[in-house]
Amino acid sequence: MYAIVGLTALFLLSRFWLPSGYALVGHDSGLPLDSNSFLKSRLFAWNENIGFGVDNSYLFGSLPLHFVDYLSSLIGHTLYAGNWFNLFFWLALIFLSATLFAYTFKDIFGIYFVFIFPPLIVFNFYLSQSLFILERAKYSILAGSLIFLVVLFKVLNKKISILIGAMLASLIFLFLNGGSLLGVSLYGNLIIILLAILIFYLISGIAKRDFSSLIRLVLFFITTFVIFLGLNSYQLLPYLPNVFNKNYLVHLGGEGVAQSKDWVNYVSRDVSFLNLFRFQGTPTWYSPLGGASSQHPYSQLYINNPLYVLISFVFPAILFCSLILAKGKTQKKFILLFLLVVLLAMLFAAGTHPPFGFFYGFLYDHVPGFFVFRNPYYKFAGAFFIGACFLISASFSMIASRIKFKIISYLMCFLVVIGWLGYHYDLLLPEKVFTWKPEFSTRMKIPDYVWDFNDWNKKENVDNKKILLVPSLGNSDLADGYTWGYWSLSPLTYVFASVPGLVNEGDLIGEEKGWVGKVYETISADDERNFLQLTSRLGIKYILFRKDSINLVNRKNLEKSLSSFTNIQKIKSFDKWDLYQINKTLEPEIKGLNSITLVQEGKDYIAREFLHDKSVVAQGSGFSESNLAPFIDQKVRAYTCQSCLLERIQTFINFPVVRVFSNSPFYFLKERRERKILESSKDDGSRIMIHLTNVFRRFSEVKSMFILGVEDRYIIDNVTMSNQYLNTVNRLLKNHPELGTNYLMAKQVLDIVSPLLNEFHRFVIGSDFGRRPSEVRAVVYNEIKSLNEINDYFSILLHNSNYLRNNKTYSLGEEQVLYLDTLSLSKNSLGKLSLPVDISYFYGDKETKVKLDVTGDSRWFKINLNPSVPLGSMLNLSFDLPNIFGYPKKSLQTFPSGSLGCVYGRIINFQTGKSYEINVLVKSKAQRLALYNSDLDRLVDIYPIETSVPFRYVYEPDLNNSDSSIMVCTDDRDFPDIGYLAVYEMISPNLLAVSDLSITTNFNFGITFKKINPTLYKVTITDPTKPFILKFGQRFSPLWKLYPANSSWIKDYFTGKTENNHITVDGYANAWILNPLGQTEWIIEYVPQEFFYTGLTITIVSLAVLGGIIIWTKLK
Amino acid sequence: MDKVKIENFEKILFNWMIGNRYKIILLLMTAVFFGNISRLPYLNLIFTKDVSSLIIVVIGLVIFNIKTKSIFLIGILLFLPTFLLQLIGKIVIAEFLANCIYIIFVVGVIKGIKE
Repeated sequence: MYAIVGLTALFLLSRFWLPSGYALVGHDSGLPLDSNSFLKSRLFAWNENIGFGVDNSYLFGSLPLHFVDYLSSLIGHTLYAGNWFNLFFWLALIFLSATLFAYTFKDIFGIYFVFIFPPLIVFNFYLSQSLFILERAKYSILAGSLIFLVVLFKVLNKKISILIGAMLASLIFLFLNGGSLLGVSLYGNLIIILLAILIFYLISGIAKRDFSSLIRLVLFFITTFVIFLGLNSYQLLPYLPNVFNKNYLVHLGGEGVAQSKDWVNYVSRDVSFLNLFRFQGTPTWYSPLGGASSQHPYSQLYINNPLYVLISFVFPAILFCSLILAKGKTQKKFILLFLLVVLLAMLFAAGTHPPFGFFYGFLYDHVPGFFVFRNPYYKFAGAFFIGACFLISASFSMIASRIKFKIISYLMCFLVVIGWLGYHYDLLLPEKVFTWKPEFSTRMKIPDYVWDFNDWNKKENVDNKKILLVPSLGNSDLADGYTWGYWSLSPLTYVFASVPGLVNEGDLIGEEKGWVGKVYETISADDERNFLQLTSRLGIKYILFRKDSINLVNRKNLEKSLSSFTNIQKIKSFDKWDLYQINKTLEPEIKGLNSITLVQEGKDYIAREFLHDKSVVAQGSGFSESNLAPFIDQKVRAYTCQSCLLERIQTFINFPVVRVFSNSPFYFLKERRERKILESSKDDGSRIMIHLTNVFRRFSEVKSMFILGVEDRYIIDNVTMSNQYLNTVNRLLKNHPELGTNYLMAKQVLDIVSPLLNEFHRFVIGSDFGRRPSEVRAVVYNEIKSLNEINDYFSILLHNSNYLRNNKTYSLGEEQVLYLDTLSLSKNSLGKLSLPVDISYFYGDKETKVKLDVTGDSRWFKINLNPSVPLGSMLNLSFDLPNIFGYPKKSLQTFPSGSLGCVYGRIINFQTGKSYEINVLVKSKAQRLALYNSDLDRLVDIYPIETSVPFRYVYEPDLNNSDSSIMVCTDDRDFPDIGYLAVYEMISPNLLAVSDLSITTNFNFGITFKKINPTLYKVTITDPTKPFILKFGQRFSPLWKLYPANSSWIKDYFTGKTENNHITVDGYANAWILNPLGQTEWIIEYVPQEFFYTGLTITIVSLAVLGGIIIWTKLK
Repeated sequence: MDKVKIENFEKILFNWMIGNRYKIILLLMTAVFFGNISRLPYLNLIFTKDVSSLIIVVIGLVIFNIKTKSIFLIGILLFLPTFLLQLIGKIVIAEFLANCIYIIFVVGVIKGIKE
């Protein structure tokens, strides 16, 4: 009866929250708009409709969850899953599991426990913080954990056998499984509860010297785990190939534990024990500056209102009163057990928050796989809430059981539930619970034209041709948003599942971003020729122009560009969405290549920016170059401007904070590590760098020791040791064969030496230095002398800043044709390109001049070198770079500190992402000057004030800074007295070297193919006589396999027989070097799909066996 | 009358102190030890003032063998000053007190399970 009342209330609440026409969609919810298509897409290990195709093999576990989504859409009569029924289903499931769980304790804490516990579990801050995205994966684990605990206590009480208990437990988590392997961290709550139970029985076992319960518990866990593996084969097996390929780190987000540790610290900053005791601590509640976040819809009420603060302290008091109220052994046992759950969950949920955050930090750093718990509160606070709600319910239930009149007891229970709901009243309001930021909610009405477009796609785009979404997503967050409310990092087409949308989304990797970005570039540049070439190559047939996108900045320009293209036409209009068709034949998804271009590792962009109609393969991607050799018709190499490195030598650096100095008893550990690293150096180059790094580190120590007043003898020892290192560096450099030619080495050495010299110069001119003992001064002077000597070694390369700015040096290889990219050059104030005024190459003292030629593409100029250029020659491009500082004038600028006299102007052709060299020649020494940008940020103090040489500063504008103004200001109202202010763009001209190998194969293989499903293609080769390269346009994955139709792929897969022939082309697509040897029929398959079929069979067989055992047990 | 009460109280306190003199000395020594450790360079990276204080609380609860229910009562009563500190905005001290309460409950729970 109580359950029916509760379900009715939840039903009414769901209808109130989501009346007809309203949907939950967007943000991180993954709630599909077309639940049927979405469910179907999850039956395959590859999803071709996201970007260039993505792996789905780790998502098979989400099938039960998306089946519920589909069921909800059927019952709710909507195409979308985020309707009232879905909401009702999950809340009801949690409520019913909580009721079942509470019913187990009816005889221990009284019937009132059953009434109080379920509402407390359904309405609390932990559950409500995820309602806006209807986090079904979390809810499934929560409900599953509660039912699992029922089974576990029955096993412990020997009411059911371990085997039956384990089978029931595995069945629970077959359906309530946390979504997929992505949801593995959601088991954190359950792990904490189980850990608490284990600790409980271990302690009581030690006290009683009876470990029978503990052994029974462990056996139950092991049996459950084994059966769980068998039942979940359908989702575990398909993922095995990824485990072999170590892709699991990518899926679980474990790359860069160090970076994610910062995230852990960030989300743990407000999860103190104090907040957890009060059922608070949700990270989004708090502002980084402290206190309640103004962005959160309801946290201010609970954090700032004194009455609510008072009530929040009543909860822990009642919670911990439970032990005082408990009578009898059984009551105390369960109270203590759940108290342990609460305390353990608090320890983990608090993450790296003090005082015990170091423990979590240690686990995070040292326990393999623990990185999945990078959101401690969200993964462990659930256990706290289960434990805390249990104890509060138990306290009230024990009080109610002691009241003589039952009616008063029931009334008390009713008041407790009403009081709890009253406290959480804000969570019942749809405008608060679904709002995640002011004016951003996941509850919305979806316009009809969105559905119309989906219908069109299903009916008309049967070949699943790609649809380019215009405008592109904003670069700041890559989020897709619409004026009618949708906002998510997943594009809208993703939640339709059947729409093959292509946009510059965050899921694109590597070169894919470049390809898609280039398509958008061609639209904004009205470059139809390249646009058609790119769209044909990428398989884009349609453009969807969304006028309701929040990313639409310049609608008129975009419309103008699209209408100026003669080969695209608008074919349909869906209210605010216009659909264009591109009238050009698309390249087939599977095609044969006669030849390819080989480029350097990481230079796949050359296909897009330089070659246009060629396919490229980058070196170093694990294939055998000898296999590829017969197909390479040209090699393209990007030359690096070596002298450009020396333009950016750092002169100042932040020295690291040092904790252990040479006077420390632990210093020997540092010295030991220092020696170990020195011994590990293999060549002179690395030896030089390691010695210099040691000098740098020791200087940091010396600097801190000076400040802290450490005894001089330690400082002298330290500097003396540094001197020894510098002497070694000097000796190694003196004899180094590349001293006059190795720019990279020069850059690396000077990046350390220059800041050190600067620091020493400052130090010795300070008044304190003169008071130091002569021994200290002597070792410091020695150090400066050694550093100057090192500096002098590179004077031959350094020249001066004017020379380095205008002369770009390259080391030549064996190629004779070079291409200069004009996009990497500077333009003068009139927009005219600044081409090299002189080009020559040197070999020893011999100089040979060459000239620049035009090509068919205005972007690229050609440099033809003499065929007899000796290897090791240096090419020099000489420029006369223009000063691009324009519109200079003097004026008073208003700063927060008052009005200052300034000379200001603009950088012409300004672009963020570029670097600019600013030169200021000061005329009078008696002034204090500083350089500012348009945001009035003080970039640098102009110091020292020298009238003979200009002050030089490298300006790298902030990416958000679109204003090109810069100014030099005094610190009062007088105007600066300067000779000139000049700005030069710092360029590093992009040179491509091409060597043609003149392969003249033009063979037609006659390839046709048939797509069976997204993971299986049948390919027919009409003329299988010659080897060639077979290109397949989906995103590269080593799990795509090509094999003869009449052979078994599995043998090849496990022996890795064909691995050497599988390569990446154009930075994203698959290709195979194929010698068909007369074989006409071939298969391209994504192997995790086969594992899915095998796993599904094991799951079904396991289910049948379990059913058989249960029936047999019953019959017995 | 009052004088008698005070004398009685003094007597009880004296007897308690005499009876527990070794425990009191041990607690004081522990407090001095961890108090100093939290000031020592390098060691105070691990034994911060907070951690040292919590260790002293744990040791105090253990050596005086306080009953489980009393431990819980102490913990619950400490919520009152914590609330007042939270209300007046002394969050840092309130957090420190909450950490102490946490430790008190941990000791209480372990003691309870052992019993």
